[in-house]
Amino acid sequence: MVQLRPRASRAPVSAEAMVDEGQPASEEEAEHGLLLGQPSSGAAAEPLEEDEEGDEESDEAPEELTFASAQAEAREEERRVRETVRRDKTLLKEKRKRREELFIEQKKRKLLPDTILEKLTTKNEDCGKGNDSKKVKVQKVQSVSQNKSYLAVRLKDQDLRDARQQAAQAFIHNSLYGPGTNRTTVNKFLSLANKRLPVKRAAVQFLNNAWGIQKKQNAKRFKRRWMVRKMKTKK
Amino acid sequence: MGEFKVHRVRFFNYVPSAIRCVAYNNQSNRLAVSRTDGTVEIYNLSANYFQEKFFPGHESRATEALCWAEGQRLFSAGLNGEIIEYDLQALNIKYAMDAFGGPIWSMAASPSGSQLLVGCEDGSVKLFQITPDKIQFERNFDRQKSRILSLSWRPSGTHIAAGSIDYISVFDVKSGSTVHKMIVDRQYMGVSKRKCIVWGVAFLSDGTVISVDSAGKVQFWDSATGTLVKSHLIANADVQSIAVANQEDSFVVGTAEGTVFHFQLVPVTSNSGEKQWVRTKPFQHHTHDVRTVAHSPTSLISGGTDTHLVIRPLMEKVEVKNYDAALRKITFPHRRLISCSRKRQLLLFQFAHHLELWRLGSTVATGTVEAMCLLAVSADGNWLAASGTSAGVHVYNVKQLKLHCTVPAYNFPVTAMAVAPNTNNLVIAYSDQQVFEYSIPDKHYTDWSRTVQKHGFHHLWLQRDTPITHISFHPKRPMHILLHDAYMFCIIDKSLPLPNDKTLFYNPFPPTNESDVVQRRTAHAFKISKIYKPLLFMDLLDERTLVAVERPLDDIIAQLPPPIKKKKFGT
Repeated sequence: MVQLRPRASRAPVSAEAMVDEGQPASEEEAEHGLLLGQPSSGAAAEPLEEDEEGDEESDEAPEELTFASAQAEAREEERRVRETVRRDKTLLKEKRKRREELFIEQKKRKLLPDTILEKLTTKNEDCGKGNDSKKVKVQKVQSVSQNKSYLAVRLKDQDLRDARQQAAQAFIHNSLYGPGTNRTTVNKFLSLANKRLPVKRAAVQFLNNAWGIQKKQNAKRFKRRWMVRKMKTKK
Repeated sequence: MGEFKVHRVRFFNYVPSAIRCVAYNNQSNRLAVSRTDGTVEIYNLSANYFQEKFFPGHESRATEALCWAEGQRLFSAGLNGEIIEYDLQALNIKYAMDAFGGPIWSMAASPSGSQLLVGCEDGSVKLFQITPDKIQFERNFDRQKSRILSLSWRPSGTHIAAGSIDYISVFDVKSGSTVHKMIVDRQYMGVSKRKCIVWGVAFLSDGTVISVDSAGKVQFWDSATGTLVKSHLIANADVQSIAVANQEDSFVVGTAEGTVFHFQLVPVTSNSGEKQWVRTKPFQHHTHDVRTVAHSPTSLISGGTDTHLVIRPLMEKVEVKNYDAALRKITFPHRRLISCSRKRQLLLFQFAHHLELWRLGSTVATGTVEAMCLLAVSADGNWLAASGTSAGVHVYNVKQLKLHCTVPAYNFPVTAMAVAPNTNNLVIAYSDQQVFEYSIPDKHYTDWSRTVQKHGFHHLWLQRDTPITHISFHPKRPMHILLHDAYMFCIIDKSLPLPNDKTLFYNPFPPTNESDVVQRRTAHAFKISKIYKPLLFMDLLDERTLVAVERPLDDIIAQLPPPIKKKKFGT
């Protein structure tokens, strides 16, 4: 009896029926067929099978898809799509609204409190300046202080000024001492003459006492601890 | 004279700051020098190159440009964005005006002296009108893309050349618009990644613009067509400064390697009228970058990061070839920065922002805030002598608080003064190396002083180039005056005869082996020793002890910023 692996095909019965039909023939033949023929015939058999199965089941009607059900499905689909779009829109709207509010609040925080603004506008009318906006801002502030003994200055201006000054200093430092310039240390520069003397001399600053600071400190600490230990054991 | 024990002090860590700008004023023959720590010094070149005025500075007021305008007004501008005018009479800052363009990189006064041009970080060139008491903003020129690092007016006042990064623009003054934009090559006949910074421009009256840049080139441009005429590669490093003479037949440039080159307009052949610019003389007097140069009618002036001010008179321009035509190198301050308290054995060191008090023999240091003042010396009694910038030395009676007398005015400024302890004689040293002795109680010059003046000083004494900065006296020997300058100290013995020009001035060895007769013949009043130099201060502590504060040049150089590498064969 030949054991066959179960085939999950559309019509499993027919395959078994095929094998069963071949069974009454000699066992050897069947084995042979199994060993040699059947895999290939199995591979080739499938399309044959399908054809045969198609042929055999051609009388079964396919699933019926009525117009009404299709329409209902399409409407469902449409509704779902509309829902998602609406949801997305409302989400975006809410997000934009929140951002807008945040901006308004930040702007409010940036501006000076209303009292000082009022004072500035009145002073401006009195003094009657106002050609260059930047200059006016600075001069306005100064005119406010005419009654009082202090000078109101925008810290942001000072920061800007410092930042620009720093940038300028960085530029000149880079262009004179930065990468790409051919600079050397003063020690090397002065020692160059020593190298060319008839009696060669050492560099101008020969000793470098700043080497291995950490090492020297560790050594000192170790020595102290060792001495203490030695004293203890001696006792 | 006797033997002295000497405290040799070398721990005064005085490091002068680098010279950033110089400006020469032709009418008064004065030189304004500004340093990186913001101090501005005025040197009187006709008074033996003496530093007569001094404005103490602050790092926030560090200058990038300095210029003289009409009427002897001095202006400076720096990276804090302000234009500062200095009051030369009151020795303070008149006012500081913000230019609203960001950090200011360059400034130039118009040939007429009535307008000031300023080049800023944001690429704008601003024109200011100089009014009698202030300056006033007039207008902006066309704004450029990058910072304006150098400016130059055409002598006729019609055009301006502005050097920036990688290009030079020529402006028309009347309209304020750019006439030409001349692109500068980044490297001499080559390609380079580093931007070419045009450190200096000069506009000549025939329309030639001379530019010096960071690639080491000196280039001649024609401003009418906006094209390059000639290019000279003179250094491997940046060429950082340029100055043209008034006659426009020579100019001087300074490089980052410390070399100063002199260019002259020379006829092509001996007969032809056609002239061309030729590099004639190189001078190597500096070790670090030469950031600024100036051209006076007779000499080339240069200064830079190695803090020396070098004045090189040009041989062909100098009329009389005497000692005046030699090189002058001003390294040490012309004022006394150290004071000594004899009884307490204390030394007071004056730095830019603090004072240090040291006890001789031990090391105790404290600091306080300081203030600068003009030369005034008080006696150890009732008299106070004060010297201003001109008009003689006034002597005041401290007990009665009124003016006692005035020493007659002299045409050279005073460099040092002191009052003798017992005789109350005021000894004054002037910048032309003359020494006078004035008797305060008698209100006239002493006999010894008159003899010295009639006799005249030895020529070697008059040829010293550093001024006398301190005078002091021996408590027990009224005939001795101790004075010093940067390279020698001298004890004047008033009882000995005065030397004439033929006697040996400097006695190198102590006269032990020579016979008495020879000694008596060669002995003269000026006993000079050059053992301790460079001397910043020397004083008598007590009868047998001297203190000498030296400042070896190597110690100063060791603290300077890095110089350009030099390649020497075989190293």
